Amino acid sequence: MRIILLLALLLFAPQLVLAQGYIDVTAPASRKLKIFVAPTSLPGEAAPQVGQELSELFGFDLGLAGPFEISPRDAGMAGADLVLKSAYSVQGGGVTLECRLVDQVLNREVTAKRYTGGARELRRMAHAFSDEVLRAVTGQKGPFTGKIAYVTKASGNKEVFVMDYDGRNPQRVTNNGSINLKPDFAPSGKEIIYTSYKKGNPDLYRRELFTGLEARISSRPGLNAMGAFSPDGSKIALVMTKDGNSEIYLIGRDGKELARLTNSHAIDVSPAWSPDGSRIVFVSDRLGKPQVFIMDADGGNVRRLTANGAYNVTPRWSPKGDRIVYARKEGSGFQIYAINPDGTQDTQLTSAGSNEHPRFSPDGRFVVFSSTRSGSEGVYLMRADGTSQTRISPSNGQDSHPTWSGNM
Amino acid sequence: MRKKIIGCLVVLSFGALFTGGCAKKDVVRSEEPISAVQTAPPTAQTTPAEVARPAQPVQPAQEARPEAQGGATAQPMTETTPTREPAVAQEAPKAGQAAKAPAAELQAELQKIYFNFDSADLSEESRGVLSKNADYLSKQPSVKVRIEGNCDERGSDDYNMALGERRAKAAKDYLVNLGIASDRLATISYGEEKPVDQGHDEAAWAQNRRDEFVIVK
Amino acid sequence: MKRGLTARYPGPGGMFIVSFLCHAVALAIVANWNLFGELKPDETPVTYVDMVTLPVASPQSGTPAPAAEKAVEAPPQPAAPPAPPPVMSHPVQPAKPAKPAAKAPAAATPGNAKETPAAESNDFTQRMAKLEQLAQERRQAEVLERLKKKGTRTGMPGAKGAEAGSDYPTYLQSRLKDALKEVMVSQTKSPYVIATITVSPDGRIAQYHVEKGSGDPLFDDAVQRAVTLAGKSLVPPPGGAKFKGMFRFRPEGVGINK
Repeated sequence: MRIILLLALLLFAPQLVLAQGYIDVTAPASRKLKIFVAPTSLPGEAAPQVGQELSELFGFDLGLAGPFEISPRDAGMAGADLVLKSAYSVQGGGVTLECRLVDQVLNREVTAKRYTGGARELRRMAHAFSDEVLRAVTGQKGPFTGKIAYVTKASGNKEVFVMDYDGRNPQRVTNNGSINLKPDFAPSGKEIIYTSYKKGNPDLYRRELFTGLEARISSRPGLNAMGAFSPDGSKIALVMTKDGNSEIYLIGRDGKELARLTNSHAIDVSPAWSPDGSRIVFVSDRLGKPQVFIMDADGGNVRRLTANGAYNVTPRWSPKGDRIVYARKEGSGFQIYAINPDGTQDTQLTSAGSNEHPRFSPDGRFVVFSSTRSGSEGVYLMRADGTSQTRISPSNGQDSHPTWSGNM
Repeated sequence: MRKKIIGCLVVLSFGALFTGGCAKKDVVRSEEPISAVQTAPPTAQTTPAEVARPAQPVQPAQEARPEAQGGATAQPMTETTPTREPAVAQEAPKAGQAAKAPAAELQAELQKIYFNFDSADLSEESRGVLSKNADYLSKQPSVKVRIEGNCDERGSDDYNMALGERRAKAAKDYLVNLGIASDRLATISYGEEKPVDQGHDEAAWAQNRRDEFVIVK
Repeated sequence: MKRGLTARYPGPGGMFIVSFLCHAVALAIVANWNLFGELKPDETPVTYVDMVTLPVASPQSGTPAPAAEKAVEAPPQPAAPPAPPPVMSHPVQPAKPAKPAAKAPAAATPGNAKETPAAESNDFTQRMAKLEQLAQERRQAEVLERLKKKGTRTGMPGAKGAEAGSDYPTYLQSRLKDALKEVMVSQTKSPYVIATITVSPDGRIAQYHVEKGSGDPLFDDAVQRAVTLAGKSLVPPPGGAKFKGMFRFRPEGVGINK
């Protein structure tokens, strides 16, 4: 009897181990994809410095991106998982850049693109391929062809400029000698809104970047500031003081008032949209000190988001909707934090110097912000988890309020 | 008796588990050396191409798409060449200062008031200054004044835009209470954009948290 | 009562003997069970789907013949891990157009091709292609070398057809695990991939079929790389049979929620 019992036990025990559906294969934490940027092929008389420029550019873009580790130049492609190959040639008035990404392990071409254009667009073409590499490898396009609008004090007063995401190619947008603040891109990337004192009052202007055409769309008495385009580009959330106290309003692209969203004796500022346009995150001192709140896009259902810190400002929603970045006053400066829209996982992202004005890149991978960590205020970017903090604006500048456009 | 049977069972099942485990390990271990020898040759012999193929049957040869890409990028990328704006009107304060001599005198009489950090409350001292300012203004009924609210650099600049407005409005409300017509008093906030002291210490900040009274007409 | 019992039983020593006997029986059962591999398919149906027995002369026959010459070159390479030859290949740049030409003739770069005489560039193309291939092989050899070192630790069953294959899945699991360690990369929190892998009787991966992707392209590709790498040095399944099993790949220590 006992033996039979035992037999049964013995028969079943080992089977239990193997009777599951799958065989599990696990591996410890993520490493990085080693990518080797092969020197650019430059046939004929093409300038040799182009090769250097391109490999630096690809190295910078992809190194920042996160999933890649750039193989050192002298290591060659031997140890790399991926190899990025490029060929540059000059034809007539333009240039052609042909790029390929090859998976060395799977022995296949991942993606290939050919770009043609003027010689001045070379960097743009290369950034476009960086975007494409990210699309092919991670499933989501990179943000590297987007532009960053920012405010610079280089000429003494604050003017709005636009530059490439890596700090190259700065171009002036305003030139009025007055105070120009808080640029925000339309979702198309082709328009910008900003507040300027150029006619005395802080009014809101909308400007087409390609044509330079501009309209003053809100010039009510008092503030017309901190405009934020809705995700569909049809509306603008705006702070105005025309009714006596700073409140958040919705206006149309033409400046027509659509709705008043807040109604309190407190200061209500810095509106920013959720990516689906259904909610607005903003700052209010209705409980005494400035804190971050969330309301529905019709002004209802207000609730406080930030529970820690005595002074939390300038929130901005991630494009995926999963995180909100903001700045918290700590000591004499600010630090950047990120929090879930339900108030959980409040995480500090910066610690060196004073860091303000965080905003996500259009793909959500990065956060741009301004920092004083190296003396003069400059535009920085980091990955959304706070790693790879990098200054992109010139070291001697006075640059702040960056905002990253979608691809134009 | 029952205890003993249970004891036996426990001992036996442990034993069984143990032996079972051992048996398995033995099988694995004894074959180790063989495997080591056997793996070596195939490693070297399979070419990458051959092995890769079965692993990914679907391998669409992706070629460069010159038309689509070329077309897209051929567009002018030098989009941001905004037209230069005329250096439009300086802010009104200078226009105000350039007014007639009596106005300039009066301007000198209008004193600034100062605030505490993150506050738009009027201190005792500020109220005293405002009363004097109200006296001057009531003697010059034609003069209009713009109250400019300012903040120090420590706060958030967004928030300070609104705080400056609040500071200006606080002064305006007080002056209106003292009998100055509200249509003679405009307000504007410069937030932290127009510091009088560029320093980064408490002395500078205290100077910058202020309302200025600028004669416009 | 107690005394009666102790009298009838031979005391603790006797109990030990009984226990020993039972152990012996247990051992015999386990041994038997291992010998009768046929029992297994019922117990692990998913892993052992399709146990078609194909006649194979020798388990080692999987080694492909054409690669014989390379077998001579490759073994010494792992000895010198980082590769000097590929480094040399980079300064020699014009080779780049070779790749497009070889891979996709239609997409050849006309601008580049014009620069060099056809014959010369052809020759060059071939040399470059060779160099590139060498580099690629080296990368794979490097990883395989590491895998092999680890492989011996976990051990694997012999490829003798006579033996029961109860441990082939375990063996394959450990090879895949080691390979995944080498190429692991992901961007989501708890991705997993379920895939059916078929190993042909000659020890090559005949089919890799993803049953359920992770939705994370980075991880999907990593799994595919792992399978490709592991597939380069597999011992053929026992019994000259094809092996087919379903595997679930995921990062270590991460629970599966979705």
